[in-house]
Amino acid sequence: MTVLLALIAQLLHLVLMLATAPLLAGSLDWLEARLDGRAGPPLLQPWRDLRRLLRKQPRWADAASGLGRAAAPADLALVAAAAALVPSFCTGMAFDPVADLFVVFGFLGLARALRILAALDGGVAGGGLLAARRSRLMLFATVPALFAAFTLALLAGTSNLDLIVVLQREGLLQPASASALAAAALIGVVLAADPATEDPDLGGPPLAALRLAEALRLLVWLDLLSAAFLPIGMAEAADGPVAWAIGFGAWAVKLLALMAALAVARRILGGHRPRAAAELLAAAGLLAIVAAVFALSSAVTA
Amino acid sequence: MSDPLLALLLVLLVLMPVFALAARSARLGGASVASGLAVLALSGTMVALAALALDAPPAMLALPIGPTSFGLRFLLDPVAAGLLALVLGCGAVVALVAGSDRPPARRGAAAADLPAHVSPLGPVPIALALAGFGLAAVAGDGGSLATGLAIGGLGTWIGGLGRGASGSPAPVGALIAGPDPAAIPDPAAAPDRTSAGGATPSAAAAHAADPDLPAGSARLAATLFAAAALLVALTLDDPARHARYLCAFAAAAALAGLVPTRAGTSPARGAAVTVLLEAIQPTLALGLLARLTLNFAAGAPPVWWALPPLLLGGAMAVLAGWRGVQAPTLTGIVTLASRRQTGLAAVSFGLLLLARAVDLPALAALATGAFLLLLVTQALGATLAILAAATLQAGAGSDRLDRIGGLVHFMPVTTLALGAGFGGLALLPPSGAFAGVYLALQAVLATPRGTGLAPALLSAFVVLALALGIALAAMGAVRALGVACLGRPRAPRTAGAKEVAGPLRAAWIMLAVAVGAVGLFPGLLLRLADPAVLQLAGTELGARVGVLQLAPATRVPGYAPLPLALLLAVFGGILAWLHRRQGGGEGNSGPAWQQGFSPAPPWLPFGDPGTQSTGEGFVPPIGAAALPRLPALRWPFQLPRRAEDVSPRRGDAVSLRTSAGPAPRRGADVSPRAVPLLLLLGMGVALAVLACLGAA
Repeated sequence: MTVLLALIAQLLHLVLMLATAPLLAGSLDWLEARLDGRAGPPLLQPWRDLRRLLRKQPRWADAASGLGRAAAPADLALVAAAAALVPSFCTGMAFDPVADLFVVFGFLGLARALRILAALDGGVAGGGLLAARRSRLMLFATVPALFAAFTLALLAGTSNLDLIVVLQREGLLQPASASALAAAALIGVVLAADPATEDPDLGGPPLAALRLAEALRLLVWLDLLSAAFLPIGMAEAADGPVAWAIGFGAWAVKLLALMAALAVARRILGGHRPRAAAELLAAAGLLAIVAAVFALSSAVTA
Repeated sequence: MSDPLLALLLVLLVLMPVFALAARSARLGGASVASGLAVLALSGTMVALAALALDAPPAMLALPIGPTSFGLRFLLDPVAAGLLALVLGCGAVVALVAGSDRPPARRGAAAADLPAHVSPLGPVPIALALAGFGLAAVAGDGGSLATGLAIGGLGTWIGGLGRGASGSPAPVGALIAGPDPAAIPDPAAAPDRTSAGGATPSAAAAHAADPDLPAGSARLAATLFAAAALLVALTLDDPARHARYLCAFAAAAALAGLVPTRAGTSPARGAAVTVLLEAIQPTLALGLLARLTLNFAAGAPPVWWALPPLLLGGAMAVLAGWRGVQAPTLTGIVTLASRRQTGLAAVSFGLLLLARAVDLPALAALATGAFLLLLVTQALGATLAILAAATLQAGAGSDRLDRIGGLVHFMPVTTLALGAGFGGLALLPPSGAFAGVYLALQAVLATPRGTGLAPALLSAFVVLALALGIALAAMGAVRALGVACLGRPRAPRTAGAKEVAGPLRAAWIMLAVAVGAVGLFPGLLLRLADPAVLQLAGTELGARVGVLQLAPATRVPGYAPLPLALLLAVFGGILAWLHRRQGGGEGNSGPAWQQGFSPAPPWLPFGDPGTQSTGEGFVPPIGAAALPRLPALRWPFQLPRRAEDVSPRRGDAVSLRTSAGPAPRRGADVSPRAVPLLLLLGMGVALAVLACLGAA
């Protein structure tokens, strides 16, 4: 029975993540527009865009190769796999034994690398510039992300995400300040994420795949933040549907709060966000290193 | 291990150069010699693997060679068997590829009659180098070790020798086996209007003018220095163990190229020699260092022994990785990626020494697992990537990123081979190297907490090296594949590239399967290598590694590459099914949107090469990244500097804007770029202060 519940919870989690990702992107766009004093697009606009793009024929540049054509769906598959491993409303799901924090970051990194390949496939100037910018961001983002993951794993004594969430929920990740520093570093990474710039020579379903992957990536980051640092209200998969419903409510509230905070931060940074990305990531890296050193030099209390 | 196996291995090693010399005398065809050599090397690999799998006690064999009271002793222990399997396995592929299309020598023809790109000694240098490195791997004393290294160094030196100039194009095998630099066809000499009147130098000319082009003699000198240092280390008495360790480390650093240099990144010596120097020799060097160091330590090594490999390896991983992402040639990217991996393997070895020093067997076992996995993936991945890069160069006539492009359309199999090679070197899941990095991270996680600031900073340095290594590995691979193989060709010469066939494809497939198998089944590999782990770490990995997962401890979740790969395959399959359900059309192809640029003139059939990325700007200059300038902050009422006093600095938008634009305003001026930095820094400082207060 427990295994069955874990499987059902896993499937539900995956469906929830895939369904919520475009909605989150739409809500974020709407909120940012409202903060700017504009009416903003409808919340379901990303879903409509995806449907519209999926009805079209794929469009490729003359120079596009099979490798580049496979990059967009592979990007989506990798981000979806990462999404499947990060718990949302409950712990103890079917994939939790393989849900390692380093693997999640590895999948996201590989997906980012594939996006860079996709940008270079068309052989146009815009794609090359996009690839170079994404590459620089990837370099600067890896350090804070890996250090934050390392700090969490160090505090928990394991890099398994499910166990980290459980220990965090029980208040056993000590010292809490190291955990907070790691959280701040990850917030910096999320804030410095590449704004939604699209590959100039893609259209149709590949573009839909890339857009969905981008929305899902943002959701994975927010979900990771909420699960690893605010595991309030999360249910156990074995507890059944009632507990899941409570966990789902808590997850929705946390997601809304994080989304609002992200929109406000983006509003404050405004048009400077692309230029400030390197500084943000450098600061995030600094915080993450401080968190790791602090965790390493502090004695184990739990 | 058993004496017959050791004797058989020695016979096979001696047979290699003897066979190559005999074949040269008999004027056998290149493919026949290559196949024979590959069979001998593969046989050696199988015997070494059998010795490892049998897990028998170490076997010693003394050969009465040389003056009285001097004999060469050979020792086959688990580490030696593993090293030998790796050296000969990669060597077999090199031999196979190097002789793939070497023309058979004419009977009675003098060396001078051979085409310029063909090495007059044929496969003899490769056989000599493999035999020498093999003998060094199973060396049992200083004499045999120095002899083996000297023979190996001589082989690589002879293999890198060039001859006179020629304009004839080099076939793939000749380019791999060791062509003359001038034999590489000059793209600028071709009727290519993209070169703007020949302004772009040819690859050969560029490499010839490269001040960092290594002299083969320098590498030979490094090898001979290493041999001498190891001879001294093995001759010194036991009380001088610190001196012995330093000698061994210096030797390994010289052999593995653990010094920040760009030397060796040129394809001019031929890919076979590059593989021997950049893929096989570093593996051998670090393996020998591990084997010797733990013998010298005779128990627990001092803690400081861990510092040189940790610091030098970490620095090497970052510097080589960074330069690899900036390298202008495909060969440069590949060789520097190999050195980055060597640096990370050295870091893992440092962790192993640290664990042995403070007597943490679990940490030692994890670090040893990481060390072995990084060595194996480095040897396999670098061999495949270097050979594939050389083949692409042979096809495209250049390996400069600003001269080639779109090679996936003309050489798809070789491009996939290059991708597989980079897959072996990439530190992202589900590659074997990621499994190595994962174990290294678990080893750092297993270090005891609360032992002071210095150990904490050292651990942070290791994690920083690993983090940057991961990012740089991915970026180097993406840059090489994206710029050289995707996009449009930049010259008609590239569009004339022909795909390889025959032995080369077999070699690609062999190595790619090996790389993939290590990625999906790292646990099986470590199970096979458990005797070597026991020898190095003093404890086995045991139940921590299995077919499905690598775990930091027994009965805890860990890294499970096969289930994760299946998960990815399921998601990929679902997407493919959805695509097919949507109609599965190939879609429309058309000219890419040039973002407002005017269309290319008709004499540029592949479009304007100037509008395509040459891979520049993927990373900032390392100096600017390591020491970033503070954001533009000026205190209130401080007089601004005059615009002409502000010297523009590359990559510094603030300085450039200040110097080029109008004079800055007087008064308070906090750059918007500083806001997030200050916010986050302030929050971090506040949290750190609170944390310190809480800890107190």
